[in-house]
Amino acid sequence: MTTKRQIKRLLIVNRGEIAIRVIRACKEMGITSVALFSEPDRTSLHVQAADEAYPLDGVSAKESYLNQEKILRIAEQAQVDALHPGYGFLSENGSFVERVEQAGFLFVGPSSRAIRAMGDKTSARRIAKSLGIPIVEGTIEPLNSEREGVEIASKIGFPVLIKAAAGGGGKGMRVVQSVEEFSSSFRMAQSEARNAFDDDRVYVEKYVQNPRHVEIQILGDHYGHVIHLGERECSIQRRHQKVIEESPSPIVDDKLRRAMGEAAVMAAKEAGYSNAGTIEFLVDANRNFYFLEMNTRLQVEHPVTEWVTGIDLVKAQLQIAMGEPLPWKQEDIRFTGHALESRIYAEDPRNNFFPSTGTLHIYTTPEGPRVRVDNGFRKGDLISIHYDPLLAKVVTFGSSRHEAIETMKRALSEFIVGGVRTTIPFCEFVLSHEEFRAGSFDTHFVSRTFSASELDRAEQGLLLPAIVASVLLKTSQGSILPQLNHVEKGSHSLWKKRREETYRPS
Amino acid sequence: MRKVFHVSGRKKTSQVELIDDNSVVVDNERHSYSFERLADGTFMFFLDGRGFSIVDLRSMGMNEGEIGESGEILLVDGHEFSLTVDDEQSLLLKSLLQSQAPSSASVTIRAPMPGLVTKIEVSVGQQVNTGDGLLILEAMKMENEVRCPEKGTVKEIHVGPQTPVEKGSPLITIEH
Repeated sequence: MTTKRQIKRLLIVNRGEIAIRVIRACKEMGITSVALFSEPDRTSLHVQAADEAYPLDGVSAKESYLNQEKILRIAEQAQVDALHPGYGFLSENGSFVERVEQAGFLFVGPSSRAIRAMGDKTSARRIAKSLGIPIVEGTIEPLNSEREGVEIASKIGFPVLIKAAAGGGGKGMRVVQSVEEFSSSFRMAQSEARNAFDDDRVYVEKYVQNPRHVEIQILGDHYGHVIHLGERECSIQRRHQKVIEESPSPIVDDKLRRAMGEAAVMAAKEAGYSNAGTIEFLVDANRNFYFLEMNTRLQVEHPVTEWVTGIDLVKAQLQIAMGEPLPWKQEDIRFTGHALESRIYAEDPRNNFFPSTGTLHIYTTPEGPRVRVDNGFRKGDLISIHYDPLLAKVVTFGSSRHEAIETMKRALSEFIVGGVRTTIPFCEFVLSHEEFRAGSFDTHFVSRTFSASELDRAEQGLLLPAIVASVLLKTSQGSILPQLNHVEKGSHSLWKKRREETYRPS
Repeated sequence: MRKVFHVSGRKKTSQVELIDDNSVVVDNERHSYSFERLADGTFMFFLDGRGFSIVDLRSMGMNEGEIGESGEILLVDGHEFSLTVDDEQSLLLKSLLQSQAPSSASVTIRAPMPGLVTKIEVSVGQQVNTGDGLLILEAMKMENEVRCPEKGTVKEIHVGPQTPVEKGSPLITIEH
């Protein structure tokens, strides 16, 4: 545990943008990257980017990226030194990590013991409580039955939140407004948790009204040294999943940052936590904070912290896993400027954020100053129903929050996706909204302010060009009534001629 | 030769007349334009001197099944528009067809993506309101609730629990 060991070959147990993020760190550190791919991912960008890639055969997540036996067999065959789990999939699965450890591989993340202590939401709540860190009212143990849940919910008062003990990413989580809704929500949370984490234990906590969701990034080494890298504001959520994150948070001042940072470091130390992790807090209107849970892995939104601190979190993860001591003390950590992230999901913001599937016919990512794009796909790729619908993350930087927002608006205007619907127009709506720009919002911002008609309003200025262009496309593609074509012969427009000259359907 | 089109979508119908290769009249206002084809169904479009990028999604095989024969699906600066474009003949034909068809006061909710129906939350004959949950469709590891788009009565349920559905498959028909 405390001896140094090199990582020369790294197996990345993930797909999409996060697999590519880890591959990039490998390249910069001279580590051979080894990718895995499911059947539909055979030609994915992460497979192409890696030095080596091995098939997992199956299609569903369960058959492929969650298939522990197959993954461990490939780790043996490919003779890797370590496994990086990314986020999601097996990243917070204590029993998988234990198998990795027993097989003699390094795991780029905390030990299975620390994952069990902190990754299990109920156990983490127990630890926080024992350290005197305020927690949200609710159960400390997972629920034994639906009836027990109803009793506790009635005692602490509706609305309540049912959450997966093994959870994360909003999966296996349901808000329950009343006793009548409890039964169906309980079952939905259980079945979602079972599908997503292979673990259907759920617990209940009080649903805090109008909170901000603020999290603290920590890094710990194998020698008990833990530091924090400041906060990320994650209150802009739909379906309890974050869409826009930023650092610093508009409501966190130095004093609150220090208090939350110290609580996060204390909890991590108590759990014997090493590697990168995130402690999530709710912050109420009076800037009181409550421990929510710990994510025992790299977060989707880690780039905003990287940009304001200048620390490469994935490289730090790999160095920690190799037994290197942390090269920073808390006072070495300095924060510069403001970073913002927009998550680009293949979802239809006009239709309740339903996943949107299809082929990426057009896919142009943003460029230019103070823009970073962590992207997992390219033109021609098929977005299927099998996996998480995150396509890419756009991260922007500014010397002020205002500049970061303006840069993000500009960057998103350059991001062109055709073939699936995405959260880009939705993110643009948020970035232009007064409340967001003023920094005064909470986790209900989206449900309070957003509807499909808002998008229509925002796109009003594009309607006239859309109308004219649609006519030009129509006339360039032939007559509206094909059977009357001969009547039209004499009236071929330039567009039709151009179509005949240049448009050759394959 | 005058060529007049009716473009509808986004709760609005406009009349568009192509005058020549660089001028157009929309709802009685004249605009100048240029329209250059780039590669792969993409176009560079200028309207009154302002540039827009246009992507012709229809030519790439995208058809949501909701806009029919005379529809166009396009991206304008990355924003998707589905618009119906008719000329005078196709409008005439449509009105003829419409007058022959029986008046229909029902709406069929279709699957917005392929997935698995895991639960039906309503039964035939039940009164439903806008926003009510109708059924649960599982896809991309998420359980998604399909909600009622308008008030009415459940007329027909086309699927059962554990039915796998394709994008566009009928799920539930609501009658006003």
